[in-house]
Amino acid sequence: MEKTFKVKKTNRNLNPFVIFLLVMLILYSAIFSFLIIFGTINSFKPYLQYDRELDYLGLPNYDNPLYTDPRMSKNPVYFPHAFYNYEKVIQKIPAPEGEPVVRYYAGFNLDDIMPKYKDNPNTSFFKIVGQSFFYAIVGAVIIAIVPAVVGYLAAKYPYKFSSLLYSITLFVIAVPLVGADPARVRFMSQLYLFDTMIGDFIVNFTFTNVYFLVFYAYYQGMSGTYAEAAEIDGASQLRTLVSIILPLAVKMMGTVILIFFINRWNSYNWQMIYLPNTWMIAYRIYSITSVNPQILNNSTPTVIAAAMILAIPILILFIIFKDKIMGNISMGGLKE
Amino acid sequence: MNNEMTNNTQPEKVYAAPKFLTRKTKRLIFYTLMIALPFLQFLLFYVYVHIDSFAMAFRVETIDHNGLLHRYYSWDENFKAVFAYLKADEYIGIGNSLRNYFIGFFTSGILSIFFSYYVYKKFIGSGVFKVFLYLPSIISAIILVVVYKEILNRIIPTAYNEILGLEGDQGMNALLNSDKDKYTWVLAYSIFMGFGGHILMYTGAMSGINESVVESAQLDGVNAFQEFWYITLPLIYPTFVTFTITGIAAIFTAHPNLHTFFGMADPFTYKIHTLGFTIFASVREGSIITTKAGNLLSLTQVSALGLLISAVMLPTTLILKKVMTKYGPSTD
Repeated sequence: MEKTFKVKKTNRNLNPFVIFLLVMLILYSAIFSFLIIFGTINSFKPYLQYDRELDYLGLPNYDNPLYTDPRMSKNPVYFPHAFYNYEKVIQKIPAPEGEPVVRYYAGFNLDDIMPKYKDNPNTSFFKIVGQSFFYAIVGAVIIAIVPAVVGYLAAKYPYKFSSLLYSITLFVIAVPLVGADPARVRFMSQLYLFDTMIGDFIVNFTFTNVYFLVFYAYYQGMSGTYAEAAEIDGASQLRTLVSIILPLAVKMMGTVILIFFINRWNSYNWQMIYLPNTWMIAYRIYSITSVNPQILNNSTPTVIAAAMILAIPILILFIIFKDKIMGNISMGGLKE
Repeated sequence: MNNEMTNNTQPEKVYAAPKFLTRKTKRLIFYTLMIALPFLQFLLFYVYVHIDSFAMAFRVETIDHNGLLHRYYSWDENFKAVFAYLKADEYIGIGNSLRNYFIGFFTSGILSIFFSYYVYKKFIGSGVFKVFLYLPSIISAIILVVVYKEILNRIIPTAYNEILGLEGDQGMNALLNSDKDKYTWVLAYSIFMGFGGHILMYTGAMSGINESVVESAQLDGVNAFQEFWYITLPLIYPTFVTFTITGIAAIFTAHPNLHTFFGMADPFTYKIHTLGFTIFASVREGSIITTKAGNLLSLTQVSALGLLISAVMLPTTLILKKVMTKYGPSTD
């Protein structure tokens, strides 16, 4: 008891080193909080309050007749309400018909090989959100399950090939080979997989990532008696894998799925190259905030609201699974 | 019960596996079937793609005036084009890439170890700080960039001018309007937002430190800094080495959200290229021939550039690992 007390006491001692770190962290948190609070408040602000009256730091004001926006409503006595900017974003996010689409060349003319992309489909906000959700969740599940299964096989099936799988993964992680994107894009075009969601899932159907090592280490440390008992009871190898082995690592897989769901929901760089004509929410919001803000009438609060929409599901997930997302990672992987 | 009933109607023969399907064989079949698809994926999307990428580095593709594609192989044409591109007076991608990496490494990279120590030791408010440090890695860069730009372009100049009573030309302009400072502000953003993943990894590594070592040092009267310097740092040094080694390739592949700041169409975006952004933008453009008046590379030239970068980074990684392992702090 006494020992524990002493350690705690020492940890809370404020010496100059700790005070320096504390000040830095307070400063960092204050700046970051300001960014988020500033963004949140202004996403609710009437366009004219922000962009014409230059009221950057005030609270949203919906009662001032000066903030009537004739460009956004035909009604001259219209006053925006709290969610006006968000409403506008939901209306404007779908790509309008006739908006130019990316004519991705990559050695192949997409107009020839993928005629369906000649016209950009006029899709709804909710369809884009649904599509993005599907893209994020399915991809995240694939990214979690493939290394888990291959990690198990490599750890528990003592063939020479298993050692090869381990060495391959180490090689892929450690050796920096750069510049394969052009060849990958072209190969996907040849397979008619370029700019398709299924193509994206296939590219991510890989075991050569750090999570292979995590699952490998986990299954190697696991007793073989689980699988043996199941086999004695007559379970097939597949049944053992699906009903016993994978559920044992379900918490780890859950964390990997969460991390990659967030990653894929927010991703737009990858889509700019591999899914240039498939609108996902992050890519679409990138294109209207960074490339074409005129779609939102160049209204800064609406642009901020568009960006904020992206954060809503992520923050909900973070609030629910904060400990899972932040607490389970250690060097070389995840801890249960 | 079921077994008994079945056994009554059918002798064991029905249940006996054919002789050739021993447990060993069944395991081998299962293993082969389960591995087949992931391994095929690896062969196609890693092995084949990298071999083709290598071949592309030596392939030249042009379009004639009839729109027909011509391909031929040349040992040096793409490489000459890449060198000419990198040596062009206006191209500052290599310098920017190095600046980006090393400034990031010596600021957020090093600070994240200190911050992780603070979180690991559970000093005042560590739980809240951990959340703040991690949030930038889960909140989309789009949101953070949009708000950051507003603060640089409106809040800071407005506040500065109001405080000092400056107006018109005398006052401060939007900070991102100045070509000279644009990259600095982009860099500041990268540093500020770059703590998340590092914090989790380092705190994870620190939590693995044997408590008895820490306790005995504390009984000897070490203060927080001494504990950090003589115990924590040496014990997480392998993690630091791994992080540095695996992150070294980012020197030439990272691109600090330039397109999110300025859009792909802004010519300025191409003036402040990093090498990583050159690759990203060129692949995005996906052209056979060089486009945008020499601002981007063709796909085959990107492959050549990738090959050059890999040739530089491979030995660099190995040497760095050796040096860091040899000259790192001792855990004795």
